[in-house]
Amino acid sequence: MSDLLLDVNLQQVPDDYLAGAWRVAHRVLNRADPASTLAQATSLVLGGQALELEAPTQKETGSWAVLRDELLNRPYISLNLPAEDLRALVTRLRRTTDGARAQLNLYFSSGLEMQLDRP
Amino acid sequence: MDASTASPNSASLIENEFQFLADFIPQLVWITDPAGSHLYFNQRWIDYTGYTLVDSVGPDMWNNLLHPDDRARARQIWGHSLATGDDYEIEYRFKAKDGGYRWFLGQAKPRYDADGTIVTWFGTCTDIQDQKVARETLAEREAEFTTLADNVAQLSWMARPDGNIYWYNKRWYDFTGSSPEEMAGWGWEKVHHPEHTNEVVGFVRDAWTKGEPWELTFPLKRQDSEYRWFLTRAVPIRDEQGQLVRWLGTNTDVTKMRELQEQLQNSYADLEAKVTFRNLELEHEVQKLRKQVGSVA
Repeated sequence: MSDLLLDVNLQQVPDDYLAGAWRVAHRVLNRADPASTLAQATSLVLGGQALELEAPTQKETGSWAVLRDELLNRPYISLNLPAEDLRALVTRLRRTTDGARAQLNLYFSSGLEMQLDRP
Repeated sequence: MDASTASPNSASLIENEFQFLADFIPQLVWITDPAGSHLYFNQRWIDYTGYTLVDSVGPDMWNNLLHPDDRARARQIWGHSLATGDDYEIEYRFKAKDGGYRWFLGQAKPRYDADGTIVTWFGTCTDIQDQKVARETLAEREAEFTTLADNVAQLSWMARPDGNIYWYNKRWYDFTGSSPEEMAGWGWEKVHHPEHTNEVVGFVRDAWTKGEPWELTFPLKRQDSEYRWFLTRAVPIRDEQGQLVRWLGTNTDVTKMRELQEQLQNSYADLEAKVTFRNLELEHEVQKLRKQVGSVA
């Protein structure tokens, strides 16, 4: 089985491709609040509808959903946390043919950009 | 005229004519006995070398006239002819009276008597200096061209007017891992991607007949079986009459450029999506505020 990560066509990506336990591999803060849980998050678990956000000193839970808009040719994610609601655009999704490994790039409306790896 | 019936006067006339002929022709002419000792030199030989028949006795003439680098070879080949009766032929350098050397083509044939015994050797030396220099210059230029062609960054090739490729540079063979035998004629199809071969073949067949410069981008298989994208450019080479004599072509690896182009296009698409996303977010905010204002009113 090839270990090569292949780009997924974001216009046709199934919602469950975005689910799973993601590890924060890389982030660009831009103008985002560096002290926020999201900015410090080390992992992001996207369950059925449940969301778990884990940072070194805190953990938050909430819900998430995949949204689409006809103006956008790719999906975006709504993250609902106790303190705030966030939205993140999926800018890239790459995965192996068997789906065992994947890489997800998110762009938050705050300007924060994240690269998530799975596993 | 039959020499046996010729009068003494006419025999003398013929001898004079032969003497004139031997001196008139542009070659140096010589005759030796079966052992190789000289019996005759024409005037042109004497004028060029400065050696007469008398001077030719002993080994000095050969040692002095022949270029040092050619002596051993000349002795070996001449010795072989004397021993076997085989025709003599050699290219060597002879020194002129003024001390300079010129290249000559030396040729000699044996004359046999009725018993089949060699009686004499008739030899000539033809000045081939200009041809030799031209040949060496050509070889030098060819070597320079080959060095240049093999070291340019591109894969290069030359084809006949009908598109039959008869030459590739070394870089082509290094890249494809192929041999000249495999690539001869239309062998290049072997290193094309199966999904592109028909399109490429159709395009170039059309291009060969048009006789105009053309370019096309397609993948070629590297020796490790990985495909790389190449921009191929071909120009027709014409003779003085405007007749197409050959095609000169190059293949430039543009894989990296295509990857960068794709990355750039992706970046633009990402940027556009981000801007749209941010506008969408603003729209959501505006709608939320409108609702709040509406509920307050």
